[in-house]
Amino acid sequence: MSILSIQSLNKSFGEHNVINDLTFAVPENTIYGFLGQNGAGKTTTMKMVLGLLKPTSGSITVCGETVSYGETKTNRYIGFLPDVPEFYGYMKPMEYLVLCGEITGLDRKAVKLKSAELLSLVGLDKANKRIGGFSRGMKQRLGIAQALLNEPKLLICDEPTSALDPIGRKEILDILLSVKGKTTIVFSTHILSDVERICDHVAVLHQGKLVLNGTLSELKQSRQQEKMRMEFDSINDKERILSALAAQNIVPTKVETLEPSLEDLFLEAVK
Amino acid sequence: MRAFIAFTKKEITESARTYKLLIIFAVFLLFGMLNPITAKIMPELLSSLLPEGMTVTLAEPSALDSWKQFYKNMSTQLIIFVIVFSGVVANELSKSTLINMLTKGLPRKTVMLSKFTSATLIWTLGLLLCFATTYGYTVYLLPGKLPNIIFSVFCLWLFGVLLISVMLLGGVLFGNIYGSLLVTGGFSLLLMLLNIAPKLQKYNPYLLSSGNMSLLTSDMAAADFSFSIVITCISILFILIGALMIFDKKAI
Repeated sequence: MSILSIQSLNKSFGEHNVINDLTFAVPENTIYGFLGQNGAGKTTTMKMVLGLLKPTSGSITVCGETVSYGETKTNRYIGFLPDVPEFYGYMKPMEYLVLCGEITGLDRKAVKLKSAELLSLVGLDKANKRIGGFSRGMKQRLGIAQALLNEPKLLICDEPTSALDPIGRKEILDILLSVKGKTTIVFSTHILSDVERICDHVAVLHQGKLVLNGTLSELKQSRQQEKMRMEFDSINDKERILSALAAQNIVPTKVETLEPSLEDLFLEAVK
Repeated sequence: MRAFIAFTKKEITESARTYKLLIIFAVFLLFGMLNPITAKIMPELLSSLLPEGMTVTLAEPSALDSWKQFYKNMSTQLIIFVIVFSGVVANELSKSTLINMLTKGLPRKTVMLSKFTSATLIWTLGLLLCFATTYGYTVYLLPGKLPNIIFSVFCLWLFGVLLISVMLLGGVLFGNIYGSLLVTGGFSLLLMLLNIAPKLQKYNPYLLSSGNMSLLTSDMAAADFSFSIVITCISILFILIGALMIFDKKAI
């Protein structure tokens, strides 16, 4: 069953067509990577799913119910993490989650339990200060906590890792991975390595249309390439392979000596 | 209903923690004390300022002078109130703090009604504070019995509620503080302009903030305000419904 399905969705701002006849469905219990460049229409699509923006035409259903603009009925199935989540800076994280819980209609005792559980899941259980003093990474984690509060069937994350440092990114991805199975996650980003790390389904949005859609393994198989990468323990081995290739009259089109990536170095240095 | 209570509570917490409550209560209390005191010392002050040898007979200050100060200063207090609260809708829209709330299933109508309720509550408490202070000091400093005291302040209260609904409408329409202030200012100006036509005066909500002294001097009776009160109540209702409908259709 699809948790979210979008049928021939269109959205234009004035003359400018942002979404062009977009159709796709998100199967249950997947992490659905929603890729695209900046301005491809990812946020616009998500806001329409949440009923915050009015589609020019087309329909959206969440858990079998049609989304109608301006109403928030279908949002009870959804947890949403905005790209830059904004909170009431004068509140403490616990107070904020309790407010969110009361709005969703959970009873007070359950809200407190659930909030405490989520705060420790996202690692904010010791941050007992006003949200106004939070760093961006902390806000992002609180954002995940508030999105998971109503145990949503569908968790929509709009570029949750784009503004974070590599460690913050890894932590957010780990949290998302840990809730997989309990909830379906739609995860928009333009950071491809994040997608490879956690997503099992990928859709690529380009100029308001889907240009690629399928499971990650399917997509990778369909584009099997003649490329391979080898790593050796010693420089010697590398020389021998190259001479072996030469003996066989095989000429690689490209041979490259790999340097450690900056990410590897960074992660090692700040460990 | 639970969402409404939770969000209204949030609004009040916000007012307290962002010092809005403190500012309003401090200003209203200060004016409440100043009104009777100014009325009491005004004649002495004036005579001390006059050149020596010149005598002007000034009437003994009375309770009426104190209430005159009260209603005169109230227009300033209303302006301060509107400025302090002009951001309640605008800030949430411009900082997108509402997104988390709305995507949790909080109905948009509840947001507006909570904001209206909390602003009205604070206005009511502020006005009561100022009224009670002025009342107490006046009884002590300038005793005297006056008619319609409660009704007269009720009229002013209702006018304040009207301005609150206009302020919220402005915030919804423009999504920023200036829009909210401009709409409230423009609305007040419009009422004042309408007041030039004598035939319209008794229907004009403006009467509720300008005719208060006539009630105390018995130049006007409570019944003279009935049209204005009815029109004001209907206006509040329509402005609120309008704000709700526009907010429902607003892209956030």
